[in-house]
Amino acid sequence: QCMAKRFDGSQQALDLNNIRTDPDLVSQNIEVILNRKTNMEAVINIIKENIPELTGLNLSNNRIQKLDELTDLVSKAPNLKTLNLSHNELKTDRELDKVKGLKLVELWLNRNPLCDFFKDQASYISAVRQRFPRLLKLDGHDLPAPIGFDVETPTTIPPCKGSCFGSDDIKVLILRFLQQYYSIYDSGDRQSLLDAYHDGASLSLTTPYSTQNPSRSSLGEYHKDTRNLKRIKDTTVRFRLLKHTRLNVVAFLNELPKTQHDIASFNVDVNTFTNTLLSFTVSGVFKEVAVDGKSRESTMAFSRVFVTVPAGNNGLCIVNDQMFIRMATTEEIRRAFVAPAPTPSSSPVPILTAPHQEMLTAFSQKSGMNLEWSQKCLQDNNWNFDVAGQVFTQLKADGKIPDVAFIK
Amino acid sequence: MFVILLMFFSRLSQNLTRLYLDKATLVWNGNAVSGNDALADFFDSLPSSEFQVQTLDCQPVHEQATQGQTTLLVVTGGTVKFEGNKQRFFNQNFLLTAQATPNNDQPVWKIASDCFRFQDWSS
Repeated sequence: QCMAKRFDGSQQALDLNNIRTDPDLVSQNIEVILNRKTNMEAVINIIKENIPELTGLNLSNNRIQKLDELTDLVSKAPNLKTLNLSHNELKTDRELDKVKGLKLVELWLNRNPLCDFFKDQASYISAVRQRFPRLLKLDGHDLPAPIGFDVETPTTIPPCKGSCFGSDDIKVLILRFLQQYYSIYDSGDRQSLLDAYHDGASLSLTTPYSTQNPSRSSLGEYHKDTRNLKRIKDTTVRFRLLKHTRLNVVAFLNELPKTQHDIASFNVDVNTFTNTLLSFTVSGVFKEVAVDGKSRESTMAFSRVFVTVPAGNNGLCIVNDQMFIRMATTEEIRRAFVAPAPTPSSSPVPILTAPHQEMLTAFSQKSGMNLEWSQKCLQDNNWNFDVAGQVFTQLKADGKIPDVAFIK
Repeated sequence: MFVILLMFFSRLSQNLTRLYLDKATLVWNGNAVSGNDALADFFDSLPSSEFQVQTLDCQPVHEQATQGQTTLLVVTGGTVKFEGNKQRFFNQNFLLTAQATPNNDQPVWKIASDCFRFQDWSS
């Protein structure tokens, strides 16, 4: 009866503000204390059974500490849009999680201990909106309309693909460049990389931010020179960490540990190319090679951006070089440095005659290609060793032979 | 510059395409997207996300590559959580180029290229 009085049929709203002091109840000596579980449950049940179409509920001034009993409202009173919980004793915003299924548009939470927890208005609003993304009014104030997506928010992300070269010509150009660059880089002396860099080239490197002691991690050698502008604010330090001019760049590279890159694992994304600029991002893994035979080999992963300008003879010259280096994951380590399985041929492989076998071995040795590719080259040229050799040399000079051909 | 990044990583996807040059390309985990309309559609198709930028580095791009047009290479890394998906590490780099604005005296940065990849994109 009391509740009936407090129910506003036109608004579908139930006002249970300070219900304890409700004159009707008091006159009947009925004490409704909503911060007591049984009392609250009873009220919720009445709502569930009689007014499930409820759109507004006022529970203010009731010393409520917990919202456990209200969880049922999420399913049983789905139209609930306005909820007033002000002047209560809710201690943390986690209480809101118990009713976060409600599609609230208006919420009152002021005068609850939880409000004092937030150091500013923005974080308070943010915490509330996390639970009620459609909220438009909080504590009587209009909130800026939430920018969301139409009713159904997508949760699928586009499938991830491998290298994105943009064109075959660029692919050939870049692969050849990478092959040359990394064979020098892994050779133990990076001095001749000078030829790959522009006079005015820049280089810098970053490593992931870690709370661990940096010198103790295997990334120690790289951590020393990490240029993370989020952490380093001193302009002198920032300046020092950006290596400038090719002499400085290569000198720095020469100090880095000896490496062995898994070129087959490389992934390349081409960002931009104009007639003066080709910029691409290479990612992959490499091993740090133990020089003294004592230190353990670690496998690392990198993401490296090269900004290049064209250089004579169909080559590239690096003007900007930015490296990000981190430890490889177990999955990456497992997949690294594994020779790709030879592609199964649809036609049956003919058994080679002895002279052809000999020729094959010799050709493979001379060209550096693996047996599969050597055989193909010989076959395509009618097992004429000299002709095959010439064709091979020409193709190699043109950069038309893919890296996989050389992986034994 | 940080303003751009913060804007970029917030939920204001409608404003995102304004940051890009008309002819800019985005390569997102190997998917190439180009042109303002395609970019807008692409960003709309992504679930809402929360980014945490952990590393940030940048270099001025040599003028020989840009024919004198002031350009910055910005490289970032951190974590991102797309709604409905697990949190992942990402690396992203941009080429930002200064563009004069017709009405304003002050030039603005525009994204000329954007390359984004999860670190574990193949799993």
